[in-house]
Amino acid sequence: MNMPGKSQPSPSLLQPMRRDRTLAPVRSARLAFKWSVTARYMLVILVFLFFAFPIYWLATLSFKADADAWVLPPKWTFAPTLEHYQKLITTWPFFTYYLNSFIVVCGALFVSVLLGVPLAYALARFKWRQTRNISFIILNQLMMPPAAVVVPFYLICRQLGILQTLWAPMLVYVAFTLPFIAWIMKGFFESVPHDIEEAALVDGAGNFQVLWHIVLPLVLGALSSTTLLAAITIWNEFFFALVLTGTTTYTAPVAIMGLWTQYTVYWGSIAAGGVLISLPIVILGLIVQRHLVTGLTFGAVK
Amino acid sequence: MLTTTHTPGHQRRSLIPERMVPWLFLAPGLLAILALALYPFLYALSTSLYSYYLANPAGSRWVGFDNFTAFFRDNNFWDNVTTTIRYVGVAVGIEVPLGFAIALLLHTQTRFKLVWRAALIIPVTLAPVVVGALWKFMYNNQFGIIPYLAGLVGIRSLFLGGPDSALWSIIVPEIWQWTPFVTLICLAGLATLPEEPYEAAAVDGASPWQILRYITLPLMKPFLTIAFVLRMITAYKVFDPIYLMTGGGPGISTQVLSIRVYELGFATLQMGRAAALALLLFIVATLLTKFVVLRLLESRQDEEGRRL
Repeated sequence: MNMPGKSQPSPSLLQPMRRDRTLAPVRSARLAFKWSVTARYMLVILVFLFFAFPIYWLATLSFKADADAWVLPPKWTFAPTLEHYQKLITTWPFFTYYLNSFIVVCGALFVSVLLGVPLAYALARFKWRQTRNISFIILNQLMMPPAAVVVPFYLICRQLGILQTLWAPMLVYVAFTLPFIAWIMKGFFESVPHDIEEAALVDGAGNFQVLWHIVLPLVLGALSSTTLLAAITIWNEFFFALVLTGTTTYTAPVAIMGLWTQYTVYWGSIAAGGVLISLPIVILGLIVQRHLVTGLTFGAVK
Repeated sequence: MLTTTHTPGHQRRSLIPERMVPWLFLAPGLLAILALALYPFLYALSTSLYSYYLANPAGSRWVGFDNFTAFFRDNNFWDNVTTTIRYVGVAVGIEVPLGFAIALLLHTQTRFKLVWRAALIIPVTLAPVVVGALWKFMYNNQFGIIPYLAGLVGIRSLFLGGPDSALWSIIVPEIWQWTPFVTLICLAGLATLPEEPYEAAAVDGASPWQILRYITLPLMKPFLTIAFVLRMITAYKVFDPIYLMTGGGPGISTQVLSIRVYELGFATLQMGRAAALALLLFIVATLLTKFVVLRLLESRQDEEGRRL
């Protein structure tokens, strides 16, 4: 088929281009195939149910008494109970594990931001002969499967004597969040107009002052979103924590595994733990929405 | 005199020489990354040349490339490779088209936007280990809702417990968690499309399929490529949900390479073999980064830079 897009003057040549996506009736009407409204809504609901139902199932499982949860056909109505949350917190030191996760996240992020932001700025603003190679090293680290480095990290932590302490996961997470923050922030720093900094430099400010007083305030929103995204990945991390931590230093995701005992599986408490682990990151995820895609695509989609 | 101390120029001189500042920005972060990336790599390299049994470190001995050549005589290894390729291929092959289709559907759905966006974002942010636990519960043969619903429509399967069905069963949660990721990328992409081609097509009376095929798809290609490449790499990294749901079983039917590394290193404690396999994973990831990801992401950043 010939698309004679160029052969006829398009109507938009006669009027200013509208960039705002909510003001695009022509495109919207065209992208939406001419399904009947009902069929479309049915599909939307189907999609919604597919993604939302498991979340709903997890949340209700954590409030269902075992007698209500372990039956078929499934019970849709039930008397909610907090017993699983109580059991999780009283008979299993879940709060300690929760706190462990929190400590590890804060420690790893502190180091990563402290070292990653200046590195990102240096890569974005100054000419280096090795920029491409440095980019490669950073990206390579971001793409690395945990399984590819878990063995050496385990042996290194063993040698350093930090196995089964919180230092071990913290060290390993820095190895992944530092390059993450450096790479994403490099993209954001590159998008800050150069003129602003040059004006400040001409006025006699030093590079450090320019970064601290001028550039950083401009990218503060992006930096906090990037940091929160890194927090989500560390908070959720399981593989390294499984290998590197011990009974007192489990992080919350690893602690869930302890509810799988040889004799019984405490599904209710596992669900309660799952809800407690997910709650903060789901809230964070919804807060950083705007930068979520940027972070998840390593800056490729803004 | 006092007034001059407060000029920026003087402050600058009183600190570190200005030409050193770029280096001070660069060096600490870069050195940390190099240390945390290169040292483990070299460590793995040296470990892989030894027969190193973790329970008896003193008994480790040099075996050269035996740990590597052993894999090529090991049928288990080739099964792991096939399983990994099937897992990645099927997952990505479904996620990208499905995610794109859902994006097309939702793109114009402005009502209830907050609700459906939340339903897309939550799976992406959930811990893979929670996802694994949740689906394992839903797959449970005695009281899981999936076997129950499948039974209602006449499907009988062991799901996670069946050697033939296990791989398919672990791919479903993967699709559930990561299709929204593709959808979110595509929604971001659809929002940037220019209007002129659509207006022109409307004037020419093009059919919806022609518009999709000749306008939307070509314009969306960069976004679909990004989604495809990133999904491929993260699916290749997978460990948590599989470890939780099947642990690689039944037999080795869901044992992807990551699970095998864990099995070798931390179940049978053969650190040398585990390190050798880990290096193979490392090399594949590095080649992917070098020839696919680096080019893709760099060109994207340059493009963004030009646009701004």
